[in-house]
Amino acid sequence: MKRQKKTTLQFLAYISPWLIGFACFGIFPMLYSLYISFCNYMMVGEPKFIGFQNYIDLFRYERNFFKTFQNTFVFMGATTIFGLSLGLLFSMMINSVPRCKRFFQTLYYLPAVLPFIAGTMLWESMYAKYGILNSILNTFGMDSVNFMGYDNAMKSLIVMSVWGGVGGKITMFLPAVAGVPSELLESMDLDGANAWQKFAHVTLPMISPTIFYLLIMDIIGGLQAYGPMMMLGGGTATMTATLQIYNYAMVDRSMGYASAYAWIVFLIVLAVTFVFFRFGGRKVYYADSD
Amino acid sequence: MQTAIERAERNPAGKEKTFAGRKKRELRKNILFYAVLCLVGVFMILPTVVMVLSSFKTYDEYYSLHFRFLPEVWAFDNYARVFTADENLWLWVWNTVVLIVSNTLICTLSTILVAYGFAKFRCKIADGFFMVLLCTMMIPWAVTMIPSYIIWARLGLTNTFMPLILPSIGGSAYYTFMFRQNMRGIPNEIMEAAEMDGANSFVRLWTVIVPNCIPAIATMVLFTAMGLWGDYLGPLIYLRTPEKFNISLGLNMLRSQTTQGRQDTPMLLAASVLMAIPSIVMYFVGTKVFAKGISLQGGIKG
Repeated sequence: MKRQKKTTLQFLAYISPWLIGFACFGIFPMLYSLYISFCNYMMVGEPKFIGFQNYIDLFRYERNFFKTFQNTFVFMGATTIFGLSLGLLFSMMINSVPRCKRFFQTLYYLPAVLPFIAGTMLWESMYAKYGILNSILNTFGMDSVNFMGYDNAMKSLIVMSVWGGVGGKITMFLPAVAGVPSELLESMDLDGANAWQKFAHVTLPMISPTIFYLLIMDIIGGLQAYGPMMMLGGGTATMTATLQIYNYAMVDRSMGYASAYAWIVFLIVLAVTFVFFRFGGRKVYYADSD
Repeated sequence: MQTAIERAERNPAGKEKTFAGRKKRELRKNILFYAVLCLVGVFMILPTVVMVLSSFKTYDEYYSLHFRFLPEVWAFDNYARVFTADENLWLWVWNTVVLIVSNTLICTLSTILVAYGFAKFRCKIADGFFMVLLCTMMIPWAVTMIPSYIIWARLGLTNTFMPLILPSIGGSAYYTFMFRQNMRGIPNEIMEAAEMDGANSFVRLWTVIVPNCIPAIATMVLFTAMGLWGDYLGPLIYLRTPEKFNISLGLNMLRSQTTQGRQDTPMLLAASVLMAIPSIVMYFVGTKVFAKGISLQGGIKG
């Protein structure tokens, strides 16, 4: 009994850095954010309590509210679907070739190594009106394309994000794909199974924990994306929820309204994640559990 | 009897035939896969290659509408212009180094301690706390960003490094997860043997646990440092004056400056190339360490 108590105390002592960090930079800001979301606060004076007014304004008067959320979900959906499927496809190809596995893995990961601002300048110079892609098009006698125009901006950003993200997915998928027991695949071979059957009945269940993990991470990350949109522009065509929050908070300084917006996004992220855990989690196969 | 012999004679031949057929199919598949992988690989690397080559083009050639892959004249002065672009340049490098060293040190130490607590001190409340730790990865950045900014602003600490350094005291949830997985793999018998020798739990951490987790720790140090080297969105909120900028913010400031109504893109691309080099070096060193036995799959399954 005494030993148990000592262990608990030691446990608390060792995790105390996290407890302090979580209290100061997790719980406290969250509660404060919730309070601020019911206030009118423009960074001058004291926050003034106004009840649900921010939330009411948000649903009533927020311009482009639905367009913004549509953009957010389109970006999240497209980067998740393309990122995961291409990542899985390339990992399986890299895994099945006899040589140069590390070479391809490194090659595909290189875009992710570029610092954010370097990647931004790279794609800005590519997509610009007098940029590299348009000068290539012109050289081959084609008309310039307005890559960051209203119709193309979202597609351009998705291409950029998938380009930068697929390497990370491959890094996660490769050990999982390589860990699928070859005896299982060979026994399927003997039974005359084709490539698709082997994939659907052996590989896919075996790597489902990795897929599920990456899926959840992509959904959480995708719903909060704002970096590329902020840097490359695109206006309302690429405005996402988190970028909108950033603008309200850091540019307009309406902290209360921005906080209310942030809580709406938080609830949506929670709901979407919950749905995937509830319905997707069941399909995940864990080898070490019955 | 005869049929049996016939079958025996036929069988090796038949087997060889399917074996040869399988080999041929295997070869065809490999050629196809290599072709696809190379083609996609070209698309993955091409933007970066074009960036490097464009960084050597003269201003006029860059903006001429006729595209050439290689620069007509190799303009090395784009790189020289990076170093004279702003008087604060070396200050930005120094600030970045300060942020990297302090954050990486604090964050790694905290993560080691916290992961040790979760891995080796089994008690009733541990699992609950661990679930909370995992859930913190889901808190949207926007929810905590605004109140944190308000608090730091009220403390008068915006435009200092404090808001960027102090939060790392909590460690990284992701690497806590990974370290815990690693530490649980270290047999308790070794720990008990050390305890017999009179080592308390803190000594055991540094003499038994840490030496066994070096690859994981090195991975965290390298990837954390790499992330901080290119960090832009964090400092963007808190740092206001150019003397406090890190390299990313500095480059972004240069990005918004124009000459003759246009930005000096070749110089900016040269700066991007220079900035990418340390990241690439860190990545290659990191993968060397990383390859020494960390299974991500183990980390994911939990």
